Amino acid sequence: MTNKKVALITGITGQDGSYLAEFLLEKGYEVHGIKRRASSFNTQRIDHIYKDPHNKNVNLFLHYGDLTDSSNLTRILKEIEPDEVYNLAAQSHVAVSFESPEYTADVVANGTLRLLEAIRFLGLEKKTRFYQASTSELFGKVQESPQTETTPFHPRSPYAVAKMYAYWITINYRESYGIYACNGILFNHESPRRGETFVTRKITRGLASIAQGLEKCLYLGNINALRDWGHAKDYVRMQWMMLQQDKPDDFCIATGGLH
Amino acid sequence: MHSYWRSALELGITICFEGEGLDEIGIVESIKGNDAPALKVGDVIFRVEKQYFRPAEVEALLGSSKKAEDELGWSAEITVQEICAEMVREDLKDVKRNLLLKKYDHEL
Repeated sequence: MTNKKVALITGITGQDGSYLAEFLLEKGYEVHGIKRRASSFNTQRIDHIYKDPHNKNVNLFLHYGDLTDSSNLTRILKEIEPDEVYNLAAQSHVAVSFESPEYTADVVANGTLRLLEAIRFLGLEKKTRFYQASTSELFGKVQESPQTETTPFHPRSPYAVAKMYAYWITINYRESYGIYACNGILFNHESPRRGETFVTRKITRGLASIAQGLEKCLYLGNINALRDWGHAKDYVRMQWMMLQQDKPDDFCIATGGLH
Repeated sequence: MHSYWRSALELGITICFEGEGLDEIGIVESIKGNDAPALKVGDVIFRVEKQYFRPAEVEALLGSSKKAEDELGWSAEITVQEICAEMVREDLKDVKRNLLLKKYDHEL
């Protein structure tokens, strides 16, 4: 019999998922992650912490799944009965959400609902704590500055609109069913593990390539947008902290610096 | 101006920007050290590409995590300068690895 805490991370192969998995493993958790099936490998960010499940003392387990697949999510939750669920999976690229708005809505909005509904359906409301990765993109066309937990939202992309549903359905399941569910409203957070198509990584990778002669010139869109930039490693610590309190609540996570 | 340009400093490069809107360009102003052997002063290394603009832009986001600080004792520890430096250093490693592959006729 073990009293290890069990966590499930959706989006474990992403930037935040990989840092959070490292963090939770260090805290002694048994960590489960959901990854989508793809013909090419997509686990580069967690390869360094993944061990063959045939070994002893393995604490990281991966499951094939998808936020668009209710029965899959329900089965995984039933099998592992996690103490904590971190919903970090998404179609997370704002520009791409204009190209694939319907898919974005399904994964981001309905995907969150599917997880919460699975928790309810399985009777895990009192056991499983839920973290929802909300976003500063909710503030979009900002109503005040700086933005806080009480600033009204004005989302400006299909991504942000879908995240707004996810934000409210998380609060709704907290208020309706007593699930310990929290929103972390995270401002931009970066790292060397940031996806290559996000502007920060485009710049750092582009500069390195140009400096060494692999590329000639970097092409970008709106470079005058200003953001509050933090490090993903700092921000996943707060994701965990939010689930360790007496009462669930929503928090803005930012550095307070505009660049 | 986008703060991530300061990651260029980590490579010993300073950049100046000229023009406005779609005509804005970034030009190498000075180079120090050995991390940018392919560049010379005056090279244009940045241009604006219209297709990357979004139908609706979000111009500025600035957060306050005062509540997190007051109630949970959390605050960000790593600065944007440190993040830029870490990212460009990691990317430089990657680029050098690719250059090595290229040198021995491996396709990238």
